[in-house]
Amino acid sequence: MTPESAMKALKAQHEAMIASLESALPKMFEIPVDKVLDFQQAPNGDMVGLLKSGGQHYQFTITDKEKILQEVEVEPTN
Amino acid sequence: MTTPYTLGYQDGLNYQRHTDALTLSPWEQGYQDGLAYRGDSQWVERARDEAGRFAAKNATTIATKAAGAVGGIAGGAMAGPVGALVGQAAGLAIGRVGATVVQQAMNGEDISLHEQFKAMGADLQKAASDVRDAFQGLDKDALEDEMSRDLIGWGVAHAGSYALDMLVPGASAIPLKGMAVAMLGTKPVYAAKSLAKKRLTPKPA
Repeated sequence: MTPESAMKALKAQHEAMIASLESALPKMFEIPVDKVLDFQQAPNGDMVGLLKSGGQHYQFTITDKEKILQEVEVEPTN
Repeated sequence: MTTPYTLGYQDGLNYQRHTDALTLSPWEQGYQDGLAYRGDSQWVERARDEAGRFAAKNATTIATKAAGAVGGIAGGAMAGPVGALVGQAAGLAIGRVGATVVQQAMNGEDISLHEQFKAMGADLQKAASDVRDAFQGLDKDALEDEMSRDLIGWGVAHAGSYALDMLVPGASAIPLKGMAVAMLGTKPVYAAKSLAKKRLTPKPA
């Protein structure tokens, strides 16, 4: 596997996860989701991420026990 | 004077509420920014300094903020449109946490999704491992001969998530094993960002 093909495979899987989140989160949190911007995941599957809905950003947290959605204000890091 | 606290300190123990000794594993000791992991998703604040207390109170926020900061590397360092897009997509830091809209126990369907995401996450980490293997022995200065700048830009943006140290030195030290980021605070992320900018900014002719 070349570096490019390996990186492309990783990117495709990452984007598949984003797509799955964008599909699942509206029902989970009962909120329309325009875009999932990023996520971080622990080995046990727990996850923290950032989504955008109707011009508002939200931080979502999913663990095996609890789901949390919080409004957040964001600023560019650059 | 010898107190239970000082004895515990000498024995490598950290004290919680003056009475409960907490033994830290080497893994936990590695995180010096103020949080200790007790297992079962429970975190405790280690009374160390202001940064540590801040990290304890803002654990989940910092996790996403760190992710955004890593994402911002690409936007800041890559001149190309995709680099800018990655920065735009992920290069966001949370300035303020507002109202909690939802805080509920997971129902059966949610738990199934959690399992599905967990499996996908395992596949992602395997794919990341494949990337690292593919880079073994590769001359780092030949990166742009091996893949497009756009793809490098994406990799830089997600270097922390997938420990892509060949793109961002020290990326594996940003433990983007999800929530573990919360333990670190943002300092290592910004250090990595600085290194990445240095690496990816063309030298003047």
